[in-house]
Amino acid sequence: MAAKKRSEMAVKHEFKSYRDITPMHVSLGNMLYNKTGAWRFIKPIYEDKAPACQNACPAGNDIEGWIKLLGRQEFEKAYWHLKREEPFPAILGRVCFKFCEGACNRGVFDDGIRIQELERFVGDRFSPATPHPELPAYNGKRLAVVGSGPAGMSAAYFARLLGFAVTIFDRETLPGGILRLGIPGYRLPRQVVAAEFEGLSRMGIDLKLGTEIGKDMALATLTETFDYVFLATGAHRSIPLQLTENLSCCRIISALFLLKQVARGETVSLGKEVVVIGGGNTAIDAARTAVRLGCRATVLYRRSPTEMPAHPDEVREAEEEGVCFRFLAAPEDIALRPDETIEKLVCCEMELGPADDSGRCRPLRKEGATFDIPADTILMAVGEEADMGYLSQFIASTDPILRTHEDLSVPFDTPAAARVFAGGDMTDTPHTVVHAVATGKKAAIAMDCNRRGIAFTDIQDHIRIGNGDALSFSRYMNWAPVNPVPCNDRMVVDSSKIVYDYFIKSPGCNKMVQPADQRRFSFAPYHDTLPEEQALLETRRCLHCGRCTECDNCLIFCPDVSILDQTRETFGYAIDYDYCKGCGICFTECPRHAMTMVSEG
Amino acid sequence: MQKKFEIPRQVLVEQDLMQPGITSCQGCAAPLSMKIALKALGERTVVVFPACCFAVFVGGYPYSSLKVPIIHCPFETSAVVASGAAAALSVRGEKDTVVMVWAGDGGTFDIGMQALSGAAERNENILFVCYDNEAYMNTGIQRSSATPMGAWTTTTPEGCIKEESKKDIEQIMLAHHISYMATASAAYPDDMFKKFQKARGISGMKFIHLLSACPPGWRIDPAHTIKIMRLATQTNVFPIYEVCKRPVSADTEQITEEWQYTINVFPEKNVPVGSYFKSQGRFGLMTDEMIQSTQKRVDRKWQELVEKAG
Repeated sequence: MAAKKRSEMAVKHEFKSYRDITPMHVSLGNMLYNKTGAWRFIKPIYEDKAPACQNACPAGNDIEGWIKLLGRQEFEKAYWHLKREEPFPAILGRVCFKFCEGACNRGVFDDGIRIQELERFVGDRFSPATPHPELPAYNGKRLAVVGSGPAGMSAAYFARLLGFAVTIFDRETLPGGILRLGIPGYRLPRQVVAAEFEGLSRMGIDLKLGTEIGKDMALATLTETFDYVFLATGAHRSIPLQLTENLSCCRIISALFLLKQVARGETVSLGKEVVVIGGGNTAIDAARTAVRLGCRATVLYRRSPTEMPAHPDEVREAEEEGVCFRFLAAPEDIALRPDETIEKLVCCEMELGPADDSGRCRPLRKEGATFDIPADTILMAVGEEADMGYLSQFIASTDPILRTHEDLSVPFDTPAAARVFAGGDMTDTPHTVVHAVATGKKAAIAMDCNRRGIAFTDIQDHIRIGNGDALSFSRYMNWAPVNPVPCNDRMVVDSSKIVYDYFIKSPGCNKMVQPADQRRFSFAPYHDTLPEEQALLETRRCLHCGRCTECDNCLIFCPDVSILDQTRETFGYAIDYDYCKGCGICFTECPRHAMTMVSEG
Repeated sequence: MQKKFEIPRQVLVEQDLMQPGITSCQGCAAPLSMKIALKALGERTVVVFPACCFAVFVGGYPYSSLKVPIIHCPFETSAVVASGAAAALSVRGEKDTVVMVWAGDGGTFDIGMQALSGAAERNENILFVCYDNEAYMNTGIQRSSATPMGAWTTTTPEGCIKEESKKDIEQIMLAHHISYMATASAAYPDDMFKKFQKARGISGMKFIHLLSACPPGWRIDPAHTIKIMRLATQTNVFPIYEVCKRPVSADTEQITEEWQYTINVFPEKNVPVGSYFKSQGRFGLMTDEMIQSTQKRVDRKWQELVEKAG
């Protein structure tokens, strides 16, 4: 508020008698006595909201916040702000499914912001081993995380920020789970994963490798020694193909198994022709790996390109590298030679039928329309499911998905006092890295709620972002947002709320990707981080949906001079409700919907 | 990235020659235009008000919400009162004080016309601003000669709309060979600010035609004032341009080259006029055929303007 209220500066004049009236009528006072605010029935307030990108991110990454800091060249602040909601920017800046970019409000205007490139730029600028500025003292509770994939890493990170003493167990000798074994090194270099674990250990998180729960150590041992256990053992068992007869042949292998073999540096021989069956990211990764091993790869998918679960960018890059795609086709039979090598794959053409439970069109077999594809190796990538053999004594069902409670606690009684939670691909969540990170965050918050003795479901709605499932760790911790104004995370700013007339069209930056004919022969990373100059240019394209940028639009357009500038002293503007008539022009003309009209009285 | 305002921030934040407390309707564009105009003209300004909305809501006797001297005058005399004020200032040697008439469309197109025409012909050193809300809004939405074809008013018979075109005030003013003529809209405050600053530096008769949305008279939501005024420009219904006098050398006799037209705001995309008309209740009785024929007329006028601007 201004130092002195304007209504106190009103000059009012009252004529005592007719003799007081001046011979020539001149004004003797101002109109400040007339508080036109009394006319108002709705009033504008400044209220930040959740941008569409943040709403789309399963982990609730405050993208606008760190892009704003990045634009101000406050790199270190941007890095730590990013890590408040999404702990591994260098990893997700490379391999995320980027739901945010698909939701970017700039997409309907000219070209969406390259959020992933920017996240990667921020993530690569600092080492994860930099001392964490917000590390608390231990709260006395111990957490065991089983599985060092993205879900386990995320749970360990957030739990440590909540004060838990964390130990991560993994059966492999190197940590990272699917990040190291499933995602090829040309997309996610191994040293990036290793650096994140260096960061986690600097935060005081213990890592016990080569320890398989259920084999080297019983789950009961964990539940006895720890207060909380988080299971995130992933989905590593490939779903077998549905063929007319069951075949076994050493050249029919799971795509994930191939990726693991390559990741471990084992030699594999695939022959010349490789057919990958499936349309997910594993299928694309396997096909691109096969191309790099010198094979000709064909991806067989039973639906059309629009239904494909793999990210369109990756499908495009695979196509550039020479991967062939055969849509609307499903395998039917595999013809073997007498020496048990594959002769060919017999496929059937499909057509799309009505939508199924997943909302996608159900593929239907076209009778009699079969064709052959030459194949030396067949890679199965029709999906992966969790192998929960180590839990067989607790759960009777053969359901390959661990169906947890709302707070991610497991649905069975645990052997000892410890509370057991689960997340990542083994639970009922889409199989992406960012969803795994989101479950890790959710479980950490749920465990802390349990420790504090409050119900997670009570707190969930207060820390939810937008209309999805994403939770805000900053809200849970009461960390201040970048803009020091009230923020209503539940309201989402979509493109219908943006006033595009105030923005200038400009194309997005180009990705630093090697040409396909160079990268297709090499397992080396082919995609470089943006240079600083380009990244800063890209930050300027952000519309900052729902977040005030002090652009002065409201100040200019107020017809009643009722918006007062306070940007020099604090942040933003103050509204002089003595005179604001509540016309709503400031609200309508706010380019980014950072204002709200609320009813009064 | 966002378009940056070119109004200097200090002027924007500090120089408020208009105070709140004015009794204009919610969402009225006239005080907004006045705010921007006074930011551009500065303290040394005298404002002359004929009868109009602004004369009422600026403050009843003995109050005024402007921090500059104002003169209220009878409806038809604004241009001549301003001429007198300008003459008086000239005699006193106050060359840096600008006299601005702030008249509605009634005080310009209809009732103020003869005094305006006289002042324009004499090339008086005044700035005549018409904030055009396209009807006699102050007295209750009566039809004026500025009301556009197709609009409803309280003085068009029930169920009827105005069938005559709006008077082409720009051409009338240019026919008087005045020094500067411009159109502006508060939806483009930068452009408006620059035009008032420019007008301040030109001697002789200046005329600025402002579009000024009136929520009750136009039957629109007060919050949509700026949006609809922006739409008026984006659909070319109200093109924003300025006309300066080009110095004519003695040996050429070509009158046609007297004017230098500049279009200041080009529409960003091709928006049909229907979206402007359909956004306002006053055009509710317009049929689709009328909108189509208006589209043709608007296109033709815009084409003429583009040709003139070269």
